[in-house]
This record gives sequence, structure tokens and C-alpha cells, in this order.
Amino acid sequence: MTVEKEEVTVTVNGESHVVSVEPRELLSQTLRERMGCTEINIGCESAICGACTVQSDGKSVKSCTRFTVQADGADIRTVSDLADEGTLTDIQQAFTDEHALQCGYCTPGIVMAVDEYLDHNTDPSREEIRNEALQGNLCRCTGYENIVDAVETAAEKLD
Amino acid sequence: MHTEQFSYHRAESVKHAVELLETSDDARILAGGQGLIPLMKKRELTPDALVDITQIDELRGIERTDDTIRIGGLSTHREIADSALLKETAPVVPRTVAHITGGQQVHNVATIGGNIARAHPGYDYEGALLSTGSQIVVSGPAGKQRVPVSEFVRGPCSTTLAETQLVTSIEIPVLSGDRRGGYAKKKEPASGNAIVGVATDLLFDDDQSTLVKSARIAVNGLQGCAVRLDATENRLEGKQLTPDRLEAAADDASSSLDSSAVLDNKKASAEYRLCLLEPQVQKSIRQAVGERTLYSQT
Repeated sequence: MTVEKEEVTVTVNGESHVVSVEPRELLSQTLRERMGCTEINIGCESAICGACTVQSDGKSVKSCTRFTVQADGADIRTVSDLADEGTLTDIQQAFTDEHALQCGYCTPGIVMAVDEYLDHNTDPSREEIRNEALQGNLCRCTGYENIVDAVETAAEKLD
Repeated sequence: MHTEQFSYHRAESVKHAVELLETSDDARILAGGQGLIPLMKKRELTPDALVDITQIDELRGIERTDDTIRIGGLSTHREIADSALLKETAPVVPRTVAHITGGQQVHNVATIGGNIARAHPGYDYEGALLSTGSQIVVSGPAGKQRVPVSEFVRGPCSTTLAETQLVTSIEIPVLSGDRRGGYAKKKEPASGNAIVGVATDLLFDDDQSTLVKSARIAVNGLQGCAVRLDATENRLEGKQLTPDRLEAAADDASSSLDSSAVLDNKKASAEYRLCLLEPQVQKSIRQAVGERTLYSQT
């Protein structure tokens, strides 16, 4: 089956791009392979693990479960856009300070999800951090304890 | 991991979407895509065409008319969980949505229309919509139709929706009084879907009253379709709610069910699902009852 390619305009980390893609091309693939955003990690590829999380118009989404055509006109932000010339954001600094990662594969996705979550809930309980903020992300190394600590620390700093 | 090839069409209106569905042999609706895209990647679904409906404004919004709450089919789980109108008028619905798996990333884009059109027994919404007596509004070549959720879902992942129809909204009847909702769920660890999910829709006169004016309790995940728990409802409706009565109602949950229809598969055996029912019913009712004080019968 040959299909018509679709032209998609998408802003990634402040830079506008026009790409011509097959409708089945995934946003995660466009970001990694066309735009060099290798900070997007591919894990489960089925909307479960959250390693590929980016923000689309300020909302976190799993980029492996979006077609690029769905992102036409969207403003996409990846973890690379958070730090300001090497100065980490409070969330990133908290992840460093609390040693909230081991292999680090899940971290970019978690940071992007937490970045959105703390916009809505500035003072989450530990239970809310586990059941809401981190619900869409899996970490297979840490057992989450230090990640919860980091989100708590970040929330305190952001207050 | 890729899907098969498909052609992509962006619908500008419901009418346009129906036309696009009619002109393709094997088209599917693309809304949030959170159920559809993983299935397409696994090649369990290989549609020739996708009709993207996310630009259709008439499918958005949650609003009240005289006696109905209308939830546009494109309303996301996030919008529904956060809706002040729904928390007040049909609280079981936002309570349920909070339990849907996938985290905020999925809740930001997944839609109520897509969820109910998939009709997966573990997908949570069906019990809440059944308990609230909701209707599914569908549009197709013959126009608009209202289908009660009990008729809309025919079995696991099967609905009355024709290939040329789409879900445009959900309508929930408004009740006058103090309406309370609860949802308790035992989730399957890997998928986060419900093995058993119990939705409770209770109506009281006011926030102090313990007289149950109406009780509608439905379970999803237990059988192929969500089912009302008649015996439990009968033990509560029209009665003063006491701790004993609440426990007895939960104990009775399975007595009105066809136990031969309980799902029995690798996710959970029928025996296990039935064991989970009573505690989940009790938890769900307690959540709906909330803070009000229950006095023992004298």
C-alpha cells in the first residue's frame, strides 16, 4: 500500500520544523531520527512505561503513542529544553541531589511528567506523588523511593 | 515498532467524519489513540484509513441542559476528572476516571468516546456509565441515535457501533438531591486494567441524610459487559444506611449474578474475581457515603 505523505509543522524546543511524513510515523521517531532528540527514550512502545514522555502544548504525552500527524501545529518540549545554559531546573537538581536514578533511562520522561504535574499540584503528598505524578512512568532500578524524595524536594523548592 | 500503512484523513465536522467513514472499506476513528495505536502496532488492527476527529469542536465540552449532563465524546480523562460540574452532578464518573491506567500522559489525550467505543471490560468507564443510567449518543449516515450503555456494549470489546458510526457524546441524567459516587478497583498489575471495578451511584436528600433514595451499583471487569448488582441495590434502596446494612449489602453482591458468566482467563480466574467482589463493593459504597455518620440500628 502506498500512502500519501503528510506535511506537518511542529515546533520542537523553540525551533520550527516542517517535515513530510508517512501517517504512521510516530512522534518519538520523528523527534529522535529527524531532529536528533535522543533524550527521548523508547521503552515499552505501548503507552505504559513513559520513557518517551514529552510535553505537547504544555501537556505531557507519551510520544511513542502519538502519530506525528497528530502533532501538526503543536509546540513540543523535551527534557533538553528545561535547563537554562547548563543551570538545572529545581526538579532536575532535586533528582541529582536525591540520587533519584540509577541507569537513568526513565529519567527524562519522569522529569517531563513531574514538570507538568507540579504546575497543577504544588504541594503533593507522598501518596499523590506515587499515585498521580509518577503513575504514567515506570522505573525498573530504583524502587521509586528516591524518586518520590526528589519530587517532594522539588515541590518544596518550587513553593 | 510500527503500524501497518494507512491513509490519514482529518474530519472537519461530524458529517464530514461520517462521509469519510462511508467512503473507506476499513476506516477507524482516531481520537486520543491511546487504545488504538498500541493495537495497531501489535497488528491486531490494520485499518486502511484513519479518520482524525480531534479538530471537531462540536465533540468537545461538558455542559448541563435541563435534566442532562452532556459530555462531548472528545472530552479527555483529565477534563472529566477535573470537571466541577461532574463532581457535583455525577461524582461517580470523575471518581472512576482517576483510576484509569496510564498516568497523566494518557489522561491528557485519551477520550471518553474512545474508551467506551473500545468496550474493554477492564477499561473502567462502563460501570460508571451504567450506574448513572447514561446514554451513548452516536452519529452515522442515518443521523443521531441514543443508545443506553447497557445495550451499546454487547460483550468484551464489542458494541452496537456500526463501521460508519462514531460516538459523539455521552448523556447522564441529572437527579435532584445529594448525589454521591464511589469507585473501587482491583487492578491487574501489568496493565492496570480492572480485574473487578465497582461503581456506586447513591442519592440522598442532603449531605447529612443516611436514607438512601436510590442506589445504583455496577461492576465492570467481572463479566464481558458491566452489570448492575441488583441484590446489593435492593438491600440499600429506600433504607437507612447503617454499618450492618452496608456490610450485608456487600456480602450479597454476587447473589444476583450469573456466576457462569464471570470471566475466567489468564488475567484472573473466575473464582478470584468473585472473591474480590465483596470487599471492592464495600470499599466503593464507603467511598460514596463519605464522611456522613452512620448509626447502628437500635
